Amino acid sequence: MIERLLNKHTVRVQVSCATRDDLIHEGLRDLLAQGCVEERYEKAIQKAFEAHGNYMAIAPGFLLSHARPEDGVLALGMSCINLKEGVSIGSENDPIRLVITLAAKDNTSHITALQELMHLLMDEDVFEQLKTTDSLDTMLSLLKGEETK
Amino acid sequence: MKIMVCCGSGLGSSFMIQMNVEKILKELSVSGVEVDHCDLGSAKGSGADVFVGTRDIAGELQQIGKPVISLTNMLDQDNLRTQLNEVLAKEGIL
Repeated sequence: MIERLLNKHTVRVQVSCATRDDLIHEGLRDLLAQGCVEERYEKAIQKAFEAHGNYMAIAPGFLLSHARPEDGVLALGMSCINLKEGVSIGSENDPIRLVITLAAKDNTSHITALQELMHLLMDEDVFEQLKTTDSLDTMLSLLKGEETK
Repeated sequence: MKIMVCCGSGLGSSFMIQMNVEKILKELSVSGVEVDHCDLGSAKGSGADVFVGTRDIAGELQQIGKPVISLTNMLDQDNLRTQLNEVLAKEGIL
């Protein structure tokens, strides 16, 4: 399932970001282009940060950027970007190097994708490569679960 | 006994942590423990006995007055295992 969501249309490497809002914005760019979310979804993610802090920075260098289905999600979607330079957002998991943005259509349809994602990220070597690679092909292979050297 | 994993929205990180909690409970051969996930707003009324959340929301969870497992790195299963062990021992499950 994950390769259906994360593909050459939704994955980018070495993206330039300076602030937390840049991370949210860049992560949403492809999801907006694909019609997965309305523009108001961006504001909803910012609000979630303001309400609850940096809880979406869930592992070292990793941000799972998302809001709720009713915040303007039109279709299930996911994007993945890694960053040219790490961005500090005031989290213990700074600097952020990898941003996966999730648009969940309801409470269940994204679960398989998240399970697959979790499985990938638990592999330390894969996790590290996802954060640092400058090759889109490598990134796409990693996300498909293919071994890369 | 019920363990509730919480995050701000109740559908992203909370679910990912729930998968790890369930995996560890299985490893520990613990049965009869229900695991679910929800958003922060629903946490208080969930009636759960133990709450799990990322560090940034742990403070809000602590206000409920039940044991809270606070995670900085969601991918760090060893840390989660250690904290789960402690809580389950205290609750008399292990």
